[in-house]
Amino acid sequence: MMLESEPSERIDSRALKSWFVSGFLLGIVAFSIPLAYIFLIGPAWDLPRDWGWIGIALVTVFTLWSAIIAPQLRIRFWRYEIRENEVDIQNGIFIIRRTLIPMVRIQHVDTEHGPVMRFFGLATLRISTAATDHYIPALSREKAAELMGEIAALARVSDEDV
Amino acid sequence: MKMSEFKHQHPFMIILETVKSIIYAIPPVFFFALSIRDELSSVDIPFLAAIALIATLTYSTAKWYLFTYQYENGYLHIRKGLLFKKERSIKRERVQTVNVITNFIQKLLGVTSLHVKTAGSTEAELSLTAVTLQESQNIKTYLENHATSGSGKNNTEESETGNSKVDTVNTYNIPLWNLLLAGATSGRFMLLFSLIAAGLSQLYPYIPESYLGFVLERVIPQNNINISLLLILIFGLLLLSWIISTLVFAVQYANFTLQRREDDIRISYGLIEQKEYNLNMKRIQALSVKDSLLRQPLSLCSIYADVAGGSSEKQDYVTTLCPLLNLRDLSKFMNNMFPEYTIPENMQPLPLRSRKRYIIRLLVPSIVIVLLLQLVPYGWVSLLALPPVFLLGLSRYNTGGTAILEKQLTLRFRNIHRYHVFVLRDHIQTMQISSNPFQRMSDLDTIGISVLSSRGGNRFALADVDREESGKIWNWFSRN
Repeated sequence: MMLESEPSERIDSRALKSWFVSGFLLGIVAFSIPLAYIFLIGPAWDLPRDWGWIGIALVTVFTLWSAIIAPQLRIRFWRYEIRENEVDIQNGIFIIRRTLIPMVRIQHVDTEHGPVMRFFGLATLRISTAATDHYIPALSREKAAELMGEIAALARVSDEDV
Repeated sequence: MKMSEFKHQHPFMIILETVKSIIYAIPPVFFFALSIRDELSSVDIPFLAAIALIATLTYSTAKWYLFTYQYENGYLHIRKGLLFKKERSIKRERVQTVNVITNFIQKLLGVTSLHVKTAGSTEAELSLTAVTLQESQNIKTYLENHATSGSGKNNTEESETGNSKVDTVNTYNIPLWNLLLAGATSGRFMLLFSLIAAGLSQLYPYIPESYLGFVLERVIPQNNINISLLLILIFGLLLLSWIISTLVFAVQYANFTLQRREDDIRISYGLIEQKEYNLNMKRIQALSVKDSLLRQPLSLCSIYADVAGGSSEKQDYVTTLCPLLNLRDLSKFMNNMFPEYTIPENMQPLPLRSRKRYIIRLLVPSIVIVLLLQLVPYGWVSLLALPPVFLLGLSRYNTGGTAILEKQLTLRFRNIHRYHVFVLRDHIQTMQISSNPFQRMSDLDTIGISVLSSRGGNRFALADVDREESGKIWNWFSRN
């Protein structure tokens, strides 16, 4: 794509489901705003109802985007590769970013997962350098733990001074 | 456990603290007095002032008495506070910088203040406000000499002992003329001008009306309000603030000295307030040469560094390594002071196809704003901004460039001012290459690097680099 070779690994395809669910939940929360407007705030203050419908239309578009379209685009470009001396990450929807993190710069790695991710057996791997933070989302939990161990081991070997 | 006694600071600290409290108290007291000026005549002012002075003196004395410090066993240790006792100790291995700052009063009294910073702290972690010069040097030497486990190292200048290491000292002083030039081109006068204008507008209600009327009549003859006079007034004010800011700059950076001994860099400057900083070469993460808009035509530049773990100045994120340098002296300066960094002989410019992107990126938003401004009266004046914006875009394109040497990446770019940023490969935390769909269509990339700096991380980026060049830089950075 950008350089001759993309990073080799893709993220887990369950990411789509997980992103769909969290996008959908976010959409439901967002729906409460125009609904509250139409049924509670609008009548109480005698405001035009049309704004409420516009709000519902916007929230519908937003939900479609965050639950279905964005995850599809996002997973298309998500790639990563962990090599002996560096971590190579590619992500983005329109703007595609390719990030190279040398092992010697990595200060710590964590895994984390919210309730939705946990339900699908996924975890996010977070990689921090002294100056920046990076993450690989939606790895299977075993894979995330494995990579965390791998990176931690590799990062420790080459411990240069900052 | 036998410990040496905790020491007090120099008793002059009482005077310094008192003066400081009084200075802090002046503005609120002044405005309070203004607000009750009618009842002011019925108050015994000398009596009140005397009481306040005695109270301040007592407080300062207590502060001095309760503040004690010692340095021993690898720690600097302080105790202070009356009701809320506070103790703090800093292990000297953790000390990143020891700054010695002497302001005007301290200089008169022959004392100095000492600020100790550790990694990650922007404010000084520990400060002593009144110690003798000798004592400050003792503490400084004590805190800084942990790295060299021997006794061979001495921070003062007379230690020209025949050390086995190359113990050369390179010093760079800035001549007075350069300082004046730097002040004149610093662009600070605009800030000062707005400060003066703001100050005048604040004071305006307190100037007696009759006096104001008198001045106005003199400046502006009746019924004949002359625009040119107003312009002259504004211009005069600008000129005045320009001269003042130049002098302030020259005084602030007077005797600017940069000294390098092995990996230690010492910066000292200031006439009224003297500052002295030490930093280790290891902590410098990126070096930037800045040709500001006002200085570039005179081929002058200044040099800054991104420093890991706290910069020297409190409010700034970067450390000034040299406030003004003639471009033709740059390579000599770099060779002497920072041989780690090389000025590349030629740089890879941006490809021709990115020119229109640079111009569009600035011009399109400006046109939108200008069109919106047409709705307000005199909005057409904003049209005048378009040619400079076009030229800025063009100039940004012309400035953009990259160069890779064996161990160093150089980026050249312009925001308003032109920058050359030199970064060693070992100091780049991460590299990022990104592209939006339009860039992908014309095989262009934005290349960005992150380095460690006092505010956590700093990112330098250059847009619309030829894909071939960005690939080269990527491969240069990649270790596999």
